[in-house]
Amino acid sequence: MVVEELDEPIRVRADFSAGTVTPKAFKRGTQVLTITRVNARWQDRTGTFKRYHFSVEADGNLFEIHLDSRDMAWWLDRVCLEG
Amino acid sequence: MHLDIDAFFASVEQVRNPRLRGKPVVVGAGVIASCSYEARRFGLCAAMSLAKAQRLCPQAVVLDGNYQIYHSFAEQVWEICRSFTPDMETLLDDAYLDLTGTERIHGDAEPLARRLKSRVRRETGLTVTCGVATSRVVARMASASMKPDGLVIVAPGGEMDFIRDKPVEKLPGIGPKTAEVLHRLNITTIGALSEIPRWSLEELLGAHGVAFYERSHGRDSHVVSRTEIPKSISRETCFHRETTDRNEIEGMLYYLAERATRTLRELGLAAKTVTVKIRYSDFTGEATSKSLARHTDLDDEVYDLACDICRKIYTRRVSLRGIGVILSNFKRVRGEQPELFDGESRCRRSRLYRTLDEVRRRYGYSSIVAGRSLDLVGSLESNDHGFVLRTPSLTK
Repeated sequence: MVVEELDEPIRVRADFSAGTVTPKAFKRGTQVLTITRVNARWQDRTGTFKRYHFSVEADGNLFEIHLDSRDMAWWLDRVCLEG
Repeated sequence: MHLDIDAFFASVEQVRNPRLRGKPVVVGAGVIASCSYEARRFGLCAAMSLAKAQRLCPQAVVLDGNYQIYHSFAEQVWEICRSFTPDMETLLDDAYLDLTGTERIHGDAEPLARRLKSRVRRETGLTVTCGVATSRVVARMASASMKPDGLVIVAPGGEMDFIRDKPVEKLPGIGPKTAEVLHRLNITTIGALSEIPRWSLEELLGAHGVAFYERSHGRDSHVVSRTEIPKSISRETCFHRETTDRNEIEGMLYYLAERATRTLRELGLAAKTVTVKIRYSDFTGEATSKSLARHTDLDDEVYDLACDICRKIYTRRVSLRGIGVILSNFKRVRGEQPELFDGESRCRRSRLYRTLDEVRRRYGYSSIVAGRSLDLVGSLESNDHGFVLRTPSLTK
């Protein structure tokens, strides 16, 4: 299991409904990865702005992404690869 | 009801990364802060040194941990609990819920507890153990008796039957030293303790003896209160590298003191007693307390006393492994009358610290580095929540 720390802007297709946000797929470079499972979600803050973090599985790997409510931008924080 | 999140930090890591499920997971730096039940099978437990843990269980996955993530998960659990009762007292990874009067809405305690457990598991992925009883002390012992993912209900009137045969050290508040005193008197079970007259326990153990007498009968007069004044506020950490550098030590002391006083101000409290703990690299330690002339919630007053204590107790020519500041002896701050002579100065400093709190709340803790904490800049990484410590203080 290899964990790589990243700080990479990504584009995410997400479902905003019932007061929650659920990421569905994200684009990393030219590759579109479909999220097969949201393992966990949590929040923290940067100043007054909330950041919504998700641990998700896509393409057989584990990713941690977050949505920054300051500018509604998505970021890829970590990837955990098999091996 | 007493609700305890099972192996909290380690469980959160297993939820974040499902590949860790079924593996021994340890969270901590220097010492174990939390370990999964898989790790406990190898004899690992909280507060054990990581070196020993790795000897006992070389395959354990060791993680530094992240307090912000754990705090967020705990808040999700407490939010679910609040949908069952508004009367809650939350600690770091456990909570007391007063369910009195909720029967007409939620029905009996058992189905309620099952619904609560299943919602926590579904919405957060964590498991909790619940103990339900007519008093806090019995509820807590009930939850401790069936971990993990347990549910124990002690019916009204059955409290003594439940606790009678348990070892006396299982009674909340009885630590190794008190247990030793009781064992010397051949008091080994809670039932035996309950037969000792109240005055006799008071004579033997002082004010604690009265509390133990009540608890040994399954009674606890503490009310579940979300606004309960904590007994102490503690901020402790290990250094990234053992150090003898006075600037680094006092810089860290300032940083911990200002984190603790910030919490004081958030809770509307002022403290009178300051304790400083140091831990040498050979794992021996010192701790001393001193009281201020008056209650305070000002960073500089707490730090000055803490620094004074630290200089007195740090006497050996051995590097320090860890340091901590503990504030206690609290009172609520309500419309204090300023001092006649230096009142203006205190008011101005109080306004300054509250303004710093507000700036940090809005722009992140690291937006301002104050006082001796400046000595840490460059040697410690920082993020929005402040300096990245080796062992973030996890006490509430």
